[in-house]
Amino acid sequence: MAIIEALETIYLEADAASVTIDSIDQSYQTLELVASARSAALTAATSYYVECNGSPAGNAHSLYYMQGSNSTPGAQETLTRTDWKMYDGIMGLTQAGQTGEYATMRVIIPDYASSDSNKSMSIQVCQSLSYASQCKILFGGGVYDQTSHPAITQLKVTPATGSLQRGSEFTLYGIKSS
Amino acid sequence: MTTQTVNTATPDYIVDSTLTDGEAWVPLITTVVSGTSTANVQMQSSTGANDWSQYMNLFLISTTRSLGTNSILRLNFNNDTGSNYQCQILGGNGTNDTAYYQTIGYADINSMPISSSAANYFASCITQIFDINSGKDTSLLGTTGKELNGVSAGIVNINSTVWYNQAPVTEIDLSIGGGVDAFAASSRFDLFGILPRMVTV
Repeated sequence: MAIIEALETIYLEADAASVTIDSIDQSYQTLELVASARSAALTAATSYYVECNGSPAGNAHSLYYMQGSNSTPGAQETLTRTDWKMYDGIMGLTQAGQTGEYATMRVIIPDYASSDSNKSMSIQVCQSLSYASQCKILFGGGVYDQTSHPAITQLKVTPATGSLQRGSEFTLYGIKSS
Repeated sequence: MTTQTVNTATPDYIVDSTLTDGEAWVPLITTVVSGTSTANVQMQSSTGANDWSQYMNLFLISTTRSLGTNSILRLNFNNDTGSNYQCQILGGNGTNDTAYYQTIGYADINSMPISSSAANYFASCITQIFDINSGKDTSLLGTTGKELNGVSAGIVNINSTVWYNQAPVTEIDLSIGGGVDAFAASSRFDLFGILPRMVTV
């Protein structure tokens, strides 16, 4: 059995409003979602949403992160939401001539299959390097604290505005220790 | 001088031309520095498992130290040293946080100990290079850290670079300040290829 295995890759051949990876294999210990994506939003950047288990009751997603935007460091929090919201985490279309640039994202969710604990996560994101006033790099940590502590069986990724552009790519990896 | 190991074996995740389940990460190249004269570490796509055209992403793990006064680990793709790299970095040194943004001729992926630093201290660095065979500008995302035996100038950062070029990545060159200084012995670079599992939408 592989230690790190690619469970599913979605490579968009046409624009899509969102990407959903469901029926996630529960036999691993940690999930890693890696993405190279871009939004069709008519802005330099827009927020990026990652949602567990599809429209769950309650606002069970919270995220804290450090952010660097050009020469300005800072910190943000996006708490008690229906998704993990990364402020301006995915790039848009404003910067003409840089249509080949896609944002990068890595999300790690340990112990995602447990049924007796909240799910913690860590994230790294960077977008819009070609557009100085909107360039953002961030890292953070969050939690999915649904009261019943369900295993994570589905992840959905959505830009706040615009659709995910053709060429956006998402791969979910399962990791186990042996 | 370096010792470089390149994995050109027939990929064991392919059996009778069929892709089978297996590890998503495949070891490609390991380079370990010895001596005092290595100013550039070159990694190139070749054959077998080391044919980079079969991978979605690359992942580089490195531990480095400079023999000179320059501390910046530079990464260049495909021998391009023009000002085609846009970097954004967020870092901290134990007291202050900083961010900066620059257009330069390389990806700035690490800050390492130098000749005057405490002996036997190396910086760590992990760098993921995304979607290297697509029609996108190549982007990377990484983290790095160095500690200098309690002396100030330790640093940690998260960094990202976009290379304004959509060609497949077939070569990576690593240097300190563009070859100004040499890597210390025991500096090490491990490159992995990461496989996808394709589902078309």
